[in-house]
Amino acid sequence: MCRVKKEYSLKTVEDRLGILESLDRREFLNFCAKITATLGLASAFIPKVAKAIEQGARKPSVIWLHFAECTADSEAFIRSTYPSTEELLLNILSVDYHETLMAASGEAAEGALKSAMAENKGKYLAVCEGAIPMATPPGPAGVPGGYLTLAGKTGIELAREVLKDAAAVICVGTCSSFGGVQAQRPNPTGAVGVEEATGIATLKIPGCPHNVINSVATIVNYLLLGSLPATDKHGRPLFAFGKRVHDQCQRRAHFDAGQFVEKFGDEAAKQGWCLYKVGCKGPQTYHNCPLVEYNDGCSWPVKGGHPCAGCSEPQFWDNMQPFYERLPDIHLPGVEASADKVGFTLVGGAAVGVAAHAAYTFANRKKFDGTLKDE
Amino acid sequence: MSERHVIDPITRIEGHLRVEIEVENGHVKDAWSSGTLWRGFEVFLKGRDPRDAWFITQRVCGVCTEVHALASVKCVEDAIGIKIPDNARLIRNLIHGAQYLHDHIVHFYHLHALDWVDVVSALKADPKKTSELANSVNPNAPKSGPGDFKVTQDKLKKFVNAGQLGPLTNGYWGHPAYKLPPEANLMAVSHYLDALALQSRVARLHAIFGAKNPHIQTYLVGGVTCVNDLNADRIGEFIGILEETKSFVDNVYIPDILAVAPFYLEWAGIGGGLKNYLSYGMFPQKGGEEPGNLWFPRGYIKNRDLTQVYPVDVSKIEEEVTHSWYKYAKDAPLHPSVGETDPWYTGI
Amino acid sequence: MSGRLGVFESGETYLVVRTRPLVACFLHWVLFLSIVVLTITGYYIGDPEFYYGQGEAYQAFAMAEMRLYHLYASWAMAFVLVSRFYLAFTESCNHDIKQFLPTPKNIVNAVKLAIYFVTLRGEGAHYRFINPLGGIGIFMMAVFMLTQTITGISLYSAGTGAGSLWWVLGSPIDSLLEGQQNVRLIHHLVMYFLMFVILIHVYMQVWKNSVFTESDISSIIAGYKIFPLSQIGHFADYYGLRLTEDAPAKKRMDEVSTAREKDE
Ligand code: HEM
Ligand code: HEM
Ligand code: SF4
Repeated sequence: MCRVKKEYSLKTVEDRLGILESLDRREFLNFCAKITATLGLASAFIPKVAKAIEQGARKPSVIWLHFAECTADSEAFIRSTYPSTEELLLNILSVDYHETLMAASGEAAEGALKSAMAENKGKYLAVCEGAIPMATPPGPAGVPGGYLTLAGKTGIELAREVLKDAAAVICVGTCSSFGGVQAQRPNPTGAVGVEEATGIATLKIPGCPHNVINSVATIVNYLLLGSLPATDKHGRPLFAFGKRVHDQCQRRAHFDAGQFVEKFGDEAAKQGWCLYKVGCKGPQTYHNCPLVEYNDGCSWPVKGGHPCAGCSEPQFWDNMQPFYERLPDIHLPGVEASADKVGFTLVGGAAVGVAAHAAYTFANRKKFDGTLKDE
Repeated sequence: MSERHVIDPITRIEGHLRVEIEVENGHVKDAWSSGTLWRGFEVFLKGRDPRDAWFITQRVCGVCTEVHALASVKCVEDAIGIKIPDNARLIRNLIHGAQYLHDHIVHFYHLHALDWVDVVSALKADPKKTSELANSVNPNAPKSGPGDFKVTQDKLKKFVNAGQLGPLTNGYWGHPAYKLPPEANLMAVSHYLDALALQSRVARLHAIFGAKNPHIQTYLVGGVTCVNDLNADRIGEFIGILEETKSFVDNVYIPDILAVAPFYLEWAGIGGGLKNYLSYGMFPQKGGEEPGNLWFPRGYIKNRDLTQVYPVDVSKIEEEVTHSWYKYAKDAPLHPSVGETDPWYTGI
Repeated sequence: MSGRLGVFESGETYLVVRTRPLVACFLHWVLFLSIVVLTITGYYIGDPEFYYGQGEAYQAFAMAEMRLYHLYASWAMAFVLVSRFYLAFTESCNHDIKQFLPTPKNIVNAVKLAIYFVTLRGEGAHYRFINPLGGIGIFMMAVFMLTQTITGISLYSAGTGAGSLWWVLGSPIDSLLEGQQNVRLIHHLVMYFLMFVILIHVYMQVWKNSVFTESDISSIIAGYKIFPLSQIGHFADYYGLRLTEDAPAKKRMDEVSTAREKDE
C-alpha cells in the first residue's frame, strides 16, 4: 500500500557501529528480541534485526509533523524502553524536525525543516501526528484549512509540501490516521486523516495515543527490509492490527463463560470478569494492546478494569460512543435513540396495533361477507 | 527604531503557538501571542453522553495528560451530585500526583532546558571539573564521577561528529544569552539524558493504576475502574518507582535548578504576567466537602504576595473574546457556563 | 397445478388446492425454529441476561453455547432462505416468486387488501395462494433475513482473521458500514425489524384463518388449502388454474364422488 522508494538503500558507505558502541549489548539484543516478536517474526530474525539497526550507514532522517493533535503521540514515542528513547532519538533515527523536542524555534526551526528536506529529498521518513483541518473558518481571514497554521502556512499546505518528497509517510495516532477526536460529529473544523487530506498513501499506526512499540517495530521493519510492513485495508500494519482485541484479551474466558461485569464496582469487577456489558469495544477493535500492553508491558485498559474504547478504529469517536454502552445510538433525522429503544418501540407498536385490530375485528364480526365464510 | 519579529512555530510546547514581538533597543516593547490551532472541543462535546465527556476532554493535551480528564469527570460528578468512594479518591490523587512528577521533570529538562543549556558547549567541558561541580551542588549526586560525565561527553562527541544533529539542528549554540559554563552544560546534558530515561519510568506510575500513559483510561464518572490493580504487587511497584523518582528529584532535579539559577538570576524578573495567580486547588483529603478539604487549597494571590490568599468566587469568572478569534452575539464578557463558541478568524 | 374436489359431511362440495409441496412446509417450520433460536440467542449475545456461567471461567460456556447455537441456527436459516428461493421458481410451488415481488400490480393489490383488512370495507379480494399483502411481508422478511446473513457473516469474519474465506466475504461489508460497530448495530436493529414483520405475519395468518376459510394454516402444515366450491368464483389471483373458467371441474367433481362412494 505504501509508497516506498526502492532506490533508498540503507546499507551504504559509512559504518554506524561506532555510534552504537555506547549501547549495552545485552539491552540491545533484548530490544531486538522484543521487536522481532512484535513483528511476528521467528526468533531466527533477531540477529538480522540487530544487524539492520547497527549497519545502516546514515541514520534515516525523520521529519515529524504536528497538525491538529494533543502531542500524546510524541509523548507516547518518548516512552520507549527498548531501545531507550535516547537511543531512538539520537542514534537510531535522526529526528531532524520535531516541534516538541527540537532546540530551534521560529525561523531556525523552519530552516531545519528546509535543510532536512533538501538534504534527504526522497529519502526521509515523514511521521505525522494530528489530523488536518480542511474547513474554512468563518471570518474575514478565513481560508480553507485556516483552523491550523504553522509559520503562516495552513496545515494542509505544509503537509503537501513535506510529504511529497518523503520516502514513506507514517501516521502515528488516530488523528493523523483517520481524523481523530476533532473529526467527531459535527467535525467543526472539517478535520480528516493525512491520507484523505493529501491523497498520499500513508502507513497508519492508530491508537489514542498509539503504542510506541508499534511505531518502533514499524521503523525496524523499515530498517530491516527497506520497506514498510504489510498492512490491512485501512493501511494499518498487520502485525499490530491483524487481530481483534477481543480475541487476545485476558478476560476472554469470562466472555465465553457468560460472566460479565454488570456495573462498575460490583463483585464481578473485582473478579476481573468480562467488560462486554459495560461497553467494551474489544469485539469490534483490531489492536495488539492485550499482547504488548502499554508502558513497557505494564497494563492496558481492560486490565485496568475499563472497557476498550476501540481507539484504533476509523471514526471510533463517533462509532464507539457512548463508551459505556455496547451499541452506538442511532442518529437519524428525527431519531436520536438507542437501538433497543427503536426496536422496542417498533415491535411494541406492532403488538399494540395487532391487539387493536383483533379487538376491532371482534367488534365488527357481523360485517364480514357471510358468503365467504365456512359456516 | 523598533522592529517586529515573528517566532512561529514556538517549539517544545504542546500545541501550535506563534509569538510576535516588537523589539526596541534590544528590549521587547510589545508582544502578541496566538494559538494557531482550533479544534472545537466545546462544539463536539455538546450532545454527548456525559459519562464520555472526560474521555473526550482528556484529549485537550497529551503532555499534561490526565488533568483535563480529572477536571471533566469532577464537573460531571458535581453536576449530578455523586460522591466517589474513598479508594477512588486515593487512586485519583495518586494518578494526579504522578502527573505532577512527570510533567515537572519533562518540562524542566526536555521542554525548557535547551533554552538555558548550550549542548555544544558541553563538548568543551572538563569531565573532572564537572564532577566536582556536581558534587559541590549535591554531595549525594548519583552518577557524578568524572567517568560518568566522560561517557556523556563521548556520546555527544560521536553524535555531533556523525554530522546528523537531529533535534539539535539549528539550535542557538554559542549564543551569548547562554550563560552556563561548559561544565554546567555537560552536567545538564547528562541529566537531560537521565531524565529522558526516567520519565518513561515515571509514566509507568500512570500505567499502574491508569492502564496507560499518555491518556489514562481508568477514570469513570463515580470513581475509578482499577479494582484489580489494588494489590500488593502493583502498590509495591508504585512505591518503588515513586521512591526512584523522589530520589532523582531530590538529588538531581532540585540541585540542577539551584546550580543553574544563579546564572540566570535576571530572568527571574521577566514574564510574571499580571502577577496575580489563581488556583482551584487539588488533592481532596479524607472527609469534608470540596473545596474546603483540598490539600493544595483553592484561592488566588495578588501581586505576587504569597502572604495573603483570597477566596475564589467562581461566579465572577468571565470569558472575553476581544483578543481572540471568536465572536459573541453581544459584546460583553460571559461566564463560561453560558459562554458561546463561534469562531471568527480575522487573521494573524 | 390442479385442485381436487371432495364433499363435506354437510354435503357441500369442497375444493382441495395444493399450495406448496410438503418440502416447502417443512422448510417453513425449520425456518420458524431457526428464527426462534436466532432471536433468543441473538438477543442474548446482544445483552446477556438470565443465563450466566457458574463456577470457574474454564468450566462454564454460557456465551460460547449461545454463540454456537446462533451459528447453527444461522446455517439452518441461510439454508432455508436459499432453498425456498429456489423452490419459488419451480412448478411445485406454482412459480410463486411472482407473488413475493413488490411489482406495481402486487403493491396496488396489497394496498387494497390492507385497506380492506383494516376498515373491512372496500374490495375484499381472495387469493388461493399467498396474497399480495402477505407476499410483500414475506419479501420484507427475506430482505431482512438476507441482511442478517450478510452482516452476520461479517460479524463472524471479524474473528477469523485476514485471508480466510469468511474474511473475504465479510470484510467488504465491514468497509461499507465503516467498521464492525456499525455492522453490529445493523444486525441488532434488523432483528427488531424481523420481529416486527414476523409478529404481523403470524397474527395475519391466525386472523385470516379464523375469519376466512381461504387461508388455512394447513396450507403451511400440510401444503393444501380447502375451499367450499361456492367461493371459487371469488378468487382474485391469477396463478395456476382458473377453476371458474374451467368447465371440467364438474366432471372431476363426479370422479371424486364416485371415488368416495367406492371407499364407503
Ligand atoms: C445467517 C444468519 C446470521 C449469522 C451468520 C449471524 C451471526 C452472528 C454473529 C457472528 C454474531 C456475533 C456474535 C459474536 O461475535 O459474539 C451475531 C450476533 C447477533 N445476531 Fe446474528 N446472525 C445471523 C442471523 C441473525 C438473525 C436472523 C437474528 C435475529 C432475528 C440475529 C440476531 C443477532 C443479534 C441480536 C446479535 C447480537 C448483536 C449485538 O447486539 O451485538 N442474527 N450474529
Ligand atoms: C406460529 C408461527 C407461524 C405461523 C402460524 C405461520 C403461518 C404461515 C402460513 C399459514 C403461511 C402460508 C401463507 C399463505 O400460503 O398464504 C406462511 C408462509 C410463510 N411464513 Fe410463516 N408462519 C409462522 C411463523 C413464521 C416465521 C417465524 C417465519 C420466519 C421468518 C415465517 C416465514 C414465512 C415465510 C417465508 C412464508 C412463505 C413461505 C412459503 O410460502 O413457503 N413464518 N406462514
Ligand atoms: S473485556 Fe472486552 S475484549 Fe475482553 S473478552 Fe470481554 S468484551 Fe472481549
